[in-house]
Amino acid sequence: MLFNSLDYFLFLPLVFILYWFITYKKLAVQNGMLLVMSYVFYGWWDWRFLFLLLFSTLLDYFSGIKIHESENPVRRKFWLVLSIGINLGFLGFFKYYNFFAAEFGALLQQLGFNVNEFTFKIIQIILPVGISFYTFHGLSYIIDIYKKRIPAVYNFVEYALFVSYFPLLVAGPIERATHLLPQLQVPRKFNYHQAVTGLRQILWGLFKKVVIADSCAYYANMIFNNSGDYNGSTLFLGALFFTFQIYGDFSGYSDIALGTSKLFGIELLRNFAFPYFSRDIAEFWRRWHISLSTWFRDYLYIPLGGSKGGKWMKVRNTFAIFLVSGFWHGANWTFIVWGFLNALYFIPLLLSNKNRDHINIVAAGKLLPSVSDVGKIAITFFLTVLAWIFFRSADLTQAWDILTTIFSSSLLQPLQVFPKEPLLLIVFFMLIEWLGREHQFALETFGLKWNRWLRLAFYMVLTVMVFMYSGKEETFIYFQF
Amino acid sequence: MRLFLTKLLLFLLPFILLFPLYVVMDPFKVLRKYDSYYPAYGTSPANINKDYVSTQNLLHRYKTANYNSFIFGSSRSIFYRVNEWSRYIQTPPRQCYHYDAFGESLYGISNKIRFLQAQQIPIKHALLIFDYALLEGVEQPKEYFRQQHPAVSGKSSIVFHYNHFKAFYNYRFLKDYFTNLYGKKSSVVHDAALWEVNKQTYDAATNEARFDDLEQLIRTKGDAYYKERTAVFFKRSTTPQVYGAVIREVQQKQLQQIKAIFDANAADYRIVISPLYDQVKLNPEDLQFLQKLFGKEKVFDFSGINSFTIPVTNYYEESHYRPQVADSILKIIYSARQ
Repeated sequence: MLFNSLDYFLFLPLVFILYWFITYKKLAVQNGMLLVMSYVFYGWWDWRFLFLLLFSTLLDYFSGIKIHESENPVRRKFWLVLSIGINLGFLGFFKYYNFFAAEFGALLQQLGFNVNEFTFKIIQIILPVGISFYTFHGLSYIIDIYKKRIPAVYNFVEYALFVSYFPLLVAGPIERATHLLPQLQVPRKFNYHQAVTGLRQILWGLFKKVVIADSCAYYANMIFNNSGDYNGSTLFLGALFFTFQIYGDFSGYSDIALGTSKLFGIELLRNFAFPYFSRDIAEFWRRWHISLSTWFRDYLYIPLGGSKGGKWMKVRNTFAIFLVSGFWHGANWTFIVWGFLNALYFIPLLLSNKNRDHINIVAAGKLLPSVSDVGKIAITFFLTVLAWIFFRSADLTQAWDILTTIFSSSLLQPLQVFPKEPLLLIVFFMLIEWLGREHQFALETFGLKWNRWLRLAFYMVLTVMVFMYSGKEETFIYFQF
Repeated sequence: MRLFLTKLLLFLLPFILLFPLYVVMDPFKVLRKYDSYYPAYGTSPANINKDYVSTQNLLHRYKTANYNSFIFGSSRSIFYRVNEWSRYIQTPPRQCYHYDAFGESLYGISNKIRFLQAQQIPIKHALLIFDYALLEGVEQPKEYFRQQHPAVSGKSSIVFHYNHFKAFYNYRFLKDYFTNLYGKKSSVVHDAALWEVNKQTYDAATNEARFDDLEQLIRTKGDAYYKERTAVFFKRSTTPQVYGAVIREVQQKQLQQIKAIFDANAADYRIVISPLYDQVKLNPEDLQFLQKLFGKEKVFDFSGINSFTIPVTNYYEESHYRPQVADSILKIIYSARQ
């Protein structure tokens, strides 16, 4: 079920009513209902995927208990390896099998081996929606128990809900057991302000997705799908459209997820913090897909030694998390190069100890940024746009062709496509984002000091815009990851 | 909580009110029964589900009409006119029913034939208008206007109605719908479907549509009609092309069911493979299967490059051929018997 569909528009009030009016008296019943509805939400795509989700949940639930109950280090490690192995095995099979089969076959052929089509058969695999997200939920839980940061959960419904809670099930944020589980284990109370803030966040998320991302998607797709027909300036415009598409799409999804969860009195981890106002790449990565970045930091970067070793260890570990992050997005060299490029951007900051220069919010307490900040934001944004070209391209050849065309004299040629409406929408969108950048999301306090009717009119305008631009039910980019 | 819900309901009221509006307007004519689902002459403000109309209209009339002859197919079958066909099968036109659907599939036709059997409606004569795309379809399409009538598909009527409501709950649809109802209709769109922009004459008794205005337009404009539509009439390959085989186990089963029902009814039937503008021939494997199952004398393949598909003037656009082609085909397939 998509957040931007009529299905969800009917599903959410139903769950809300069941949650606060029917099952509220008993926590176990309320959690059980949420779990059932989460499975309905997920099964809406394809009920067969539910078996994989249930299997993964059962595996981690029992492995967690086994690890927790055992004092024997070998046995603890056995359950840890078993759980991680099977989880990553599933992820690897569904997401990466064809990639490795094709690449390994090609390598053997280049080495002179006779490879027929059946040696590494490419098979039709349907990627279960959200598998990367719920696998990472389970992994963090198991690793945390192994590291004795948390005890195992014995209540199956609570654990299953932690993994499959519908607002975050298919595209995150990637939650931690330490943050979400305690909220699921205590009764929730309806909080008017929290619920209203949640609705505002849902509205802003829908605006980002339906109005901004889907409008940009049309032109980004048109330009990228026919990239050979366009000059450098138009290709750069296409990359810009994709830059706003992916931000509107993914951060919009996260806002709807967080807002939805607030309606149930449950706070989820923040996933985006106005990344396009970052002054360097390190800041960008503290503000983009935060739950994934921190996941990799805690479960990959730090275990590898983090920043404690020498310079080269830092470089190695940084490359490792960026490459793995790229690969996490999908089985394509374009994602790996995207990760590599970001690592290249990041390394100079790390080596010069400037990676934590911009911890605070840009131009905090001021209306406008300084000239220096504008320059830094522009450079960071430009570097990000270039990296997104790899992310969006079908393959490395296309990405390279686009880049070489952009960095040619054709960049100075007139635009072949100049859609005014989406560009105006982007300006409006970024203006609101800028004004709200000191808050959790742009609309959190925006307009709260206005006359209530004016504020209501503003919300109504946004709602009508969402309605006007909706109807296509475009899926979210991150569902494929 | 009360304050929260009250404010939320008030805010969303305009969107919630769309539901009663849908019930009152019934834009797709799926909520109530109608004597005729299309205006006798004109265009519908909404794209109406022809599959639903065909079945609903049949249910409304079959007990008094005594239908016993049926034309099955997609919108490409529209131009096989009942009056013309009835001459060959020697049946009164009023006992013939054009049981078609937009984007019809083999799944749809096999369900319809089984439905007729379940309703104990005799099938004395049948004309099946097939093409590659129709044979390929073995599942219910997703678009609301291609959803099969629940009585025929056996699927949930809640899902059927929900899909129609979803189609209504859409700004673009609402804008077009109310413009068509109360505003100025858009001028002829060259690549729009026939029924969207051209007035049709609808006869509920035979469930048949005629596009006389369109014929008149072609007669008036002549070559200009085709010159204006060069983008629609794409350039065709000069070398013969063949579609990939589409009849697999599912289709085989559906076709066998159709054959069994025809046999049980001792029906006289013909199967036509349409002469499509693309000039791509039906795969020989598929043709062979059809001929083996139904008999060579029953299956007539007009796909590929031939005298029907060469003249552009035989087509309204790239998808639909004109009544003159259908008339000639009827003549060929029924004279072949004698």
